[in-house]
Amino acid sequence: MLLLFLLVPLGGLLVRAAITHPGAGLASPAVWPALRLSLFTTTCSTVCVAVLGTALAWRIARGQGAWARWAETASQLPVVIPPAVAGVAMLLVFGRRGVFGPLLDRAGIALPFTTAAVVMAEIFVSAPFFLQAATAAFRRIDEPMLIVARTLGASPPRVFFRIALPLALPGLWGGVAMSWARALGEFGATLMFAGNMPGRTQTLPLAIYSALESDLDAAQAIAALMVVIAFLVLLVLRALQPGTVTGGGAAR
Amino acid sequence: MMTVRLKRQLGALALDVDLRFGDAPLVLCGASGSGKTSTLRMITGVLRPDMGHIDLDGTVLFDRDAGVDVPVEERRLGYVPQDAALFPHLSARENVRFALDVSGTLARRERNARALQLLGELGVGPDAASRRPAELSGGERQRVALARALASEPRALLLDEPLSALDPATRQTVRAFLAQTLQRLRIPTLVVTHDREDAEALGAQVAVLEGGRVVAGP
Repeated sequence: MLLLFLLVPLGGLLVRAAITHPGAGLASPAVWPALRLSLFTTTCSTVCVAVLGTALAWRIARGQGAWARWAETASQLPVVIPPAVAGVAMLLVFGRRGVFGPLLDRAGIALPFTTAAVVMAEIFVSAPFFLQAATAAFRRIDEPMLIVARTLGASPPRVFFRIALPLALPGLWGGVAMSWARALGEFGATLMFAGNMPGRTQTLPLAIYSALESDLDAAQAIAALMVVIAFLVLLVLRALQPGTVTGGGAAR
Repeated sequence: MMTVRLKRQLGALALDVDLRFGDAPLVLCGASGSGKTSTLRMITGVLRPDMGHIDLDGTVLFDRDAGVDVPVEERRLGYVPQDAALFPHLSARENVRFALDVSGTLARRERNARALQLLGELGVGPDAASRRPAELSGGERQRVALARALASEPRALLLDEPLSALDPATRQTVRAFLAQTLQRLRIPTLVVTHDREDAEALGAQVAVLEGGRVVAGP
């Protein structure tokens, strides 16, 4: 019953988009700039999340005591915070009248309603998904293996790059796919903090929102395109399913 | 000669061990939960004792009162944990080579040959050397783990339950082989096991650990 409820709207969307000239919908002038912008911003945000998130996840996974627990909980906050709230919060901190407003202004940087703001909003909402997957991947590594590497004289960077990173890699790729998918679907925080300007801050979800009022075919076509992309991400995730990955069985 | 005096409270267990071992390997025998693995981990340096002193051939590795605590990476102890803990993404040869890369004493081009030589001395042929841990037998894994530990030219050797993961038939062979190898190495060696038979076969000296204390010793 629930599965039907989950699948019927998506099926309906795909069928309708297929019947009503998907070509015409995709030809709408709003589609390609939005697609280009979405691909660009999600690539930027995902790279940031993956690089900074890998280092943080490693520290959280290896950390003991209050700091690691606190950091782990704090890093999951954006999952439960409504995206619109996140957008307002970012505006209050990075906006012209925000906490860092005067500082940024003096440096000649204006963030709100720019492409950079889109990337920031995407990082904010998508990072927890990567962190969760990456922390879990690092935790699956057998502790004795890391101890052995250290007794052999390996420095912490060597232990990380030669042992921990290769073993956690499938889990990290899973996290990349999850956070990228979340960034691609990001709507609320982007609308609040970056606005809805075609070519500059109008990503695919915002383009759907705008098109719904004027060009239903285009809205349908973009929505169907996003369902296809999401489905592909899910396939990638399944292929990288943890358990088939770290080869922990070898140490048993 | 290695001298180990350690105290540490581990939950309900008050670990308090006093061990000395030199040319002949010492086997520390005790039931699970008696504090064997924790003792080894304190010697490696990953677990910090509350009190105590560790001395290896005149070098102090740990002394709480004098404030000495040599980092794990600099203690130069060969450690073989339970179940070998080989790096699963590297072949047997690459596992040994990892240790050679870290120590850096050999030129790069000599390291593969040296890794194969070390494995060969422990009865792991070139064919098995190219396989990953998941494709090796239990006995082969133990030998590779020992070769990896020896590749770093350790000043002492610590083995945690080296035979427990093996089936009875393999166990006999590896036990005899290990006893021979340990005699040959002549560096201070501490072997931990829960099995009395293994203990007697492996060590000229056996100490018994019970409830965190050595109750019978050499």
